[in-house]
Amino acid sequence: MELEANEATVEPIYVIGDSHALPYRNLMFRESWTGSWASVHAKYVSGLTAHDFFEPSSGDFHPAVIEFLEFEGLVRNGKATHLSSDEVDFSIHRASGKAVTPPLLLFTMGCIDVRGAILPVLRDTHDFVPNFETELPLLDRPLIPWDVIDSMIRQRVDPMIAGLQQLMNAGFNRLYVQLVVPPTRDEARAKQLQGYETPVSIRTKLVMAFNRYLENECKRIGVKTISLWPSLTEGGYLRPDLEVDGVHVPPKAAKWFVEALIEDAVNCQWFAINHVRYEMFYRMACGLEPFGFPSSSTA
Amino acid sequence: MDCPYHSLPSTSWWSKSVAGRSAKDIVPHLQSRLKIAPDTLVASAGSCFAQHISRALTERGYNYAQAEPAPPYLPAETASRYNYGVFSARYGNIYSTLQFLQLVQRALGQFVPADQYWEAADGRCFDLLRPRIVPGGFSSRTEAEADMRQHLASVRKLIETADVFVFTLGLTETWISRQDGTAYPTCPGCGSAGDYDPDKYIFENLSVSRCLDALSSAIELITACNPRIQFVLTVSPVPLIATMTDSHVLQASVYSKSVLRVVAGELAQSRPNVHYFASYELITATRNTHAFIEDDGRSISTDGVSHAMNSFFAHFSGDIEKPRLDQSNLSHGSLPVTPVVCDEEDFFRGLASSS
Repeated sequence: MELEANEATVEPIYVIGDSHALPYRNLMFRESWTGSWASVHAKYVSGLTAHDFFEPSSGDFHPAVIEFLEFEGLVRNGKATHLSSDEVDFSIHRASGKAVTPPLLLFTMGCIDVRGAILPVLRDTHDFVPNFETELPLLDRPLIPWDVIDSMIRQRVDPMIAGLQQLMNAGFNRLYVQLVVPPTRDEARAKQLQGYETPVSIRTKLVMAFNRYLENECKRIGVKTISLWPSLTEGGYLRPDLEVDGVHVPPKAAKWFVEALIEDAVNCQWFAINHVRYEMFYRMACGLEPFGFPSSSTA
Repeated sequence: MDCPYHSLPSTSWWSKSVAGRSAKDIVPHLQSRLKIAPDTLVASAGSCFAQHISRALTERGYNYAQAEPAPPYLPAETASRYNYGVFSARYGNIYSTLQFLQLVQRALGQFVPADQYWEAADGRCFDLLRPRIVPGGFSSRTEAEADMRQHLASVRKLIETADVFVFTLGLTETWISRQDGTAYPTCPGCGSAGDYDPDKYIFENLSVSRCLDALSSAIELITACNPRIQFVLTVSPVPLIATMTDSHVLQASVYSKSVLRVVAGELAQSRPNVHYFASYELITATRNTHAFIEDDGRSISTDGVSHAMNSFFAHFSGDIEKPRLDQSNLSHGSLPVTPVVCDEEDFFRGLASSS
């Protein structure tokens, strides 16, 4: 395949997360709006959870996150390179021959938080009533109070939100979060994975509750979320043709996610303009600290 | 003909069984017809004092019925806050015999209160029959109703399977719905959930006959479901915090406890499956009340609780001063020691802060 001269540059999309980042691996396609090529750089971090993404008390990100950002040249010496006024970073960017814009970053986290940390409270004995309307049934089982479920969701999600806020503060303003995908309908497979049998209605409700909070919190801090729940479900549950291994959706669904991300990015070109750099130089001109955020080993 | 008093046992004489004895040496019971073995399934309900009984049964490793156990993976502190394990089901404190009867009727599908839920301005929903069962109320009416259905199913199962039911009679003063006679644990809208409306709620100081009818009916309903069940009745020695009657609170408290004592006594004498445990007498009717009751004249001291519980087990199981079990050996159903959950005290505390 030969790239035409005006398509020599490929828009990179950086995906980092749990195993739901794997379907994105080596994904490259021509996106439908501008005709440009998009290439996904995916980093799978085994066992990465929303909870462990960022430690608010110390300000430290999961080491694999920083390693990935540094490896991809997005962070150097603890600072976002697209904002850098360092001569080395300027030289690197100049050598690449393209405009430096805030990178598109997509995070995939939360599935392990749901299945590993919250679902065990429900196990095969309990159900719960969420604080939103749903068509999913309420089973004839003892109930876990909604406040308990809600508290556990917040406990898992809040560190991730804090980390995303930190990234936003550092100038990464094109952040996307892929919400947790609907769980498998295959009860036998789910039992095999979990070690106990929780009906799909309860597992799906839990994912919905988790995603609602995650989505609301992301919206609050200006991070976009990608869900595609209506496209992934049928009758309220995961579409049968999207069943793969009881956990993940197939690569074709990953492409849908990326296309949705690009569509949003295309429609939000303002964020691609490195206005943060303009702000940085304005601050320098005013005699202020150009970056305005703590300089540390974290982004 | 010989005087009948000459043939009385020593337990019938004050001078022989009470006078001159220390409080801890007074055993105000004759031999029990009921024996509680470690595998006897024991359920309990009642007023705040009843929580001491439920804890003691659990701590001593007895087979305490838990129809609504805490989910296994819920942290113990969270489970305690949501009132798991306080009693045999999450019914909260049951202060009056009428409240107890209606709980049984509701569990058997014979009574549906017309005015049970109250929704706060922020959308939180409270079950007025269990106002503190979930901190801050349920997140929605849907959740409150669903939880209630599961709860009543658990109570029904409890009634049908328990071997012994221990009920602690607490109060005669109660607030009742004018609409259908629903008895509430505390006055709705007074420092707690609900809106007080004199057109909706009326105060009643339940008489001996009202209490007796209610508790008799409850016992009959339960026995019909579970013919082998035995009941232990006891009267809480904790006085009233306040009285709604136009009497001095001390008079009102003694009156209330007297009514309940009569009711418990009548039922124990007239029904072979009902037994009386004298916790009221143990705490209040010996010379050692200063050791068993705190300076406020109301709270039962740790010594008092221990004495009552030791007496309970000595009387019903021959279990004397059994050491407290190592918590690590108990099942996941055990909970950390936390203060007694007292709706009545919380109610008046809330009332004080809202005035």
